[in-house]
Amino acid sequence: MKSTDIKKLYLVHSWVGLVTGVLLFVIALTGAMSVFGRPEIKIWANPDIRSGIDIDTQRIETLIETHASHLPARFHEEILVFMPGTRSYANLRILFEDHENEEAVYLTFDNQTLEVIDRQDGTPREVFAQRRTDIADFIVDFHADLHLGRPVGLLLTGLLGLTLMASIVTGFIIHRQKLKQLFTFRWRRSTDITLADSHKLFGVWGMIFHGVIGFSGAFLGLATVLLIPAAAFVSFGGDQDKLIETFNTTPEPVLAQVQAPTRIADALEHALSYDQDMRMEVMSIYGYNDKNAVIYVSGVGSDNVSRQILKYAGAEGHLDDVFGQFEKVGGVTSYILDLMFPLHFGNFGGPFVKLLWTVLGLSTALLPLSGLMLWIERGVKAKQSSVSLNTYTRFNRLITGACGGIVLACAALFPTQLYLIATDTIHNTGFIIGCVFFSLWLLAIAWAFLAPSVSSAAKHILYTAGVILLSVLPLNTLITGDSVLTSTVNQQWETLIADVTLFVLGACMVFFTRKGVKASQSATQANKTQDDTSSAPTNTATQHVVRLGD
Amino acid sequence: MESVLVLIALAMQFSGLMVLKSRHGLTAHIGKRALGLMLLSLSFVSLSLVYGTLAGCLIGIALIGMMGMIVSIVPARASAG
Repeated sequence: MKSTDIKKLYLVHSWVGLVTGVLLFVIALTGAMSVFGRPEIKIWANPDIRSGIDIDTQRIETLIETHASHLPARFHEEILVFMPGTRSYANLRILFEDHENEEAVYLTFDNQTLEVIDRQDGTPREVFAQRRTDIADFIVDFHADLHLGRPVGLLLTGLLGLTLMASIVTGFIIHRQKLKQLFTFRWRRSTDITLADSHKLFGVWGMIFHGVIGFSGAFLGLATVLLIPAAAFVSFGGDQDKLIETFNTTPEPVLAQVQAPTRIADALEHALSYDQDMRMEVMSIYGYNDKNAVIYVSGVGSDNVSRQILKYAGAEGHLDDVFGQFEKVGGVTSYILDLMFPLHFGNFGGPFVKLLWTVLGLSTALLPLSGLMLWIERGVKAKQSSVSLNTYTRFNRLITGACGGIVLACAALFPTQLYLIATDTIHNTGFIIGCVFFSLWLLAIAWAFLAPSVSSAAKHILYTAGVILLSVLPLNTLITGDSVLTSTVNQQWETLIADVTLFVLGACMVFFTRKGVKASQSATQANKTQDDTSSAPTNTATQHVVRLGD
Repeated sequence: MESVLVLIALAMQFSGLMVLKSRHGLTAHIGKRALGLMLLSLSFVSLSLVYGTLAGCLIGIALIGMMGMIVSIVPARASAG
């Protein structure tokens, strides 16, 4: 490729990174956290389910029977059972839905006694909206749409997936010595060399992963906002409902209007033992107590990677079929569509794969950050720069505040959840979590601009985040009584691993911030000594570096 | 058993990459590069066998990326400093 073309691509790479870098860091960091959102953080955030839940299939069948008998028959059209602690809900929840009148009754049960602890009536949209949010829901939703609502938020995150892919492609072309860059990392050279090496290293080694995350992220973000309407426009004259109906793998059966008890317990029992690696999330029952009733049970984590749906004949309770979510699309496309979600969140293959996805997700976050910092370092050192030193300084402060602030806000989510557990009287938990999260993030950005220097702002933000993370373990012991010892004895592995991991992360954050501060101080001291002893006039670039890092 | 095989695959990848990186920090020696790639492929195949083709391939690719980053960041003996 011609050097002029490489230069053009370099410009594209730089500008895409400059415009989207901070947001990409935010999305990737929260994405790395979201990998463990459900069910690990969900279980940690709800002490009631930390010891695990035994699903008694016979009791669930009796429960549905009891409550269905108290509701008009029109509410038997569809019954949705949400397994506790597997996805969005800590408690067992059952939704009775009347499709024709768009009415629903939503019951929440105590996991131990199976008594109704909450009842919501309204349209399905209304009853789903009234849920008690915890930090797992908050962070997963933030990663999906930045809490900007849909479609704006989804559109934005989808576009960010596309810009990540554009950056990967342009970065791959402009970096010529890829094999050499695979193993080049110079620790003790200048800041810009270390930054350049880390940017290339994260980029080249994680290229396939970043590409997969970018592509699947773009798909998940844009699917409902752009892709479905576009597909409906092309093939169904703009009728989206018809498109969904055509490709729906869980259609409603034609009812026989002949009474036959639906064998929920048998189907659920079989589903739970079908694949030990699979986590059952939702059970849908269509045409309850009709001869043609159908039960669908869906779960994730099987060896097939994609979400699996098990179809049972309701009256007999035997397995009819097993298929993926997009099977009706047909061909290779259905296979690819089924892979999008597990590829993005790494929810196949158990905790080992999740850990792998988190570490690589953090490298995706570090990729734009190292790129942005490199741009600043190079710009400051350049003899002729297109922008002023003040612009670089302000941009540096913005990156420090926004990126450091999101780390701080994410760390603060854990003590916030413990506070909500301790009080237990606050109903609108999502509002409190949001207030703490966004306030801290904004405060960090403001402090980055107000602090005497960028390095001092970064130091304060990271120290605070470290201390907050260190405090989670003792706070959890105090508030819930689940210490390291009791969690080990009671085999509450999610709680134990979360507490210890947060403590280690906090300790590392404090340690490395301290180390970084010392290194920065000695570098500043060395520069001052050099300036004092040298009689030659100091060049502008050195002044810039000292002023930025001071 | 699966976990043991994954750990073996991990160890193989790590050792393979360390050999690949070599004393000089860069992949100057073709023999070492080949040995490293061979170990990488072996671990890749073993993972695919453990997890079934698709999941194994995905994990293998992701593991190579992660191990590569870790090995590259660890200073090589001759290039450190």
